[in-house]
Amino acid sequence: MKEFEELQQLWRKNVPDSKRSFEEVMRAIESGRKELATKMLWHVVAFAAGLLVLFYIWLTVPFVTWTSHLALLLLAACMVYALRAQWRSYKEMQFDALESGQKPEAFISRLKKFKADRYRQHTRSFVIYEVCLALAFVLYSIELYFALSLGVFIGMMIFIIFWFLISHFVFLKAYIDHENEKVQSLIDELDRIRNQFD
Amino acid sequence: MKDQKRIAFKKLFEENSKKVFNLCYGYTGDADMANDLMQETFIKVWQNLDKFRNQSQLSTWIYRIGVNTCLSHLRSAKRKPTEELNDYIIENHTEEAGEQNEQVAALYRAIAQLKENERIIITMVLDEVPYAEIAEISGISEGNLRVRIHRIKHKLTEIYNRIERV
Repeated sequence: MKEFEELQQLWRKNVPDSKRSFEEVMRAIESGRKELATKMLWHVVAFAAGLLVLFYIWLTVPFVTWTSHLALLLLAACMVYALRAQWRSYKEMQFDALESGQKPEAFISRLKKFKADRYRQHTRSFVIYEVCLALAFVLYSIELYFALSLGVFIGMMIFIIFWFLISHFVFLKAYIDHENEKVQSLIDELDRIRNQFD
Repeated sequence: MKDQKRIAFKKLFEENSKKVFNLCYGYTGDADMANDLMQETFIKVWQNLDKFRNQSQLSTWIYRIGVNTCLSHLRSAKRKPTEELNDYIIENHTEEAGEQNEQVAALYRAIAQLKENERIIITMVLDEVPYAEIAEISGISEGNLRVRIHRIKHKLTEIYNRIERV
């Protein structure tokens, strides 16, 4: 039989030493910052290149109908929207650092709300993005109707509609289910831990 | 300016890293994971050093960041569910028992069977952090905390003695 004081002595004599030096932590800070900045830079470069290609097509291909121009405008808007979403994600990643000094109970509540909001925002963003893309294709199809033979046009439309249906009912549903499950399990865990601080 | 921040940070690291490591070690029961969490804590300290406004002692603030880092490490991809983590700690320290002191292994296994907040609180008690500071770190009133610490001490001793008897 041991008393708590004996356990305390046992603990104090036997906790291993930390193997992480100050220099290693500084290197991790530097590399983390650089890694994130590089990742963000690549995203910005990829979207900027996409926008340049889009503008190149816009300027060089002689589109006839105004609906095609509107479609291109919508596509450009979708890309800017996606870029903005990337930027917001980057800013959100700094959330932890900003909220770290809170009391544990408040921190867990905030974390729980953040997770739920992020899930809602991501799934809603996906639908907006999908609607805008669909609208852009519909607008562009008006020009295709005049430019292509009826058979090719119908074939192309069937392919596009089929693709959107798969995206919406298979990919989006799978994405939402997966996110929902992940977020719910995290929220349950956070709830469980938060209750320990009540 | 940046050099000054680095010097101040180095001092903070030297004064507090061992305490934060012990906290993380008590929480996870795993030295590698504790090193990672300790590092993550100090990365957050570095990022927020300019925002520290002396509302509390610097060491309390760092401890609190450590506690929140431990509590939120369940978000990481490498995370194991609590039950699985407890099993892992128990298994890990059972395997080490041959090489290490059996009593130490039993102590780690006993801590692993406590709830998350109990692990955090008892680790600070084991490290002799003053009760007032533990209360401020955990956001629990001092009166309430004393009762809670009494219960956790009792629970830990009971689990430890049960393990030792087996």
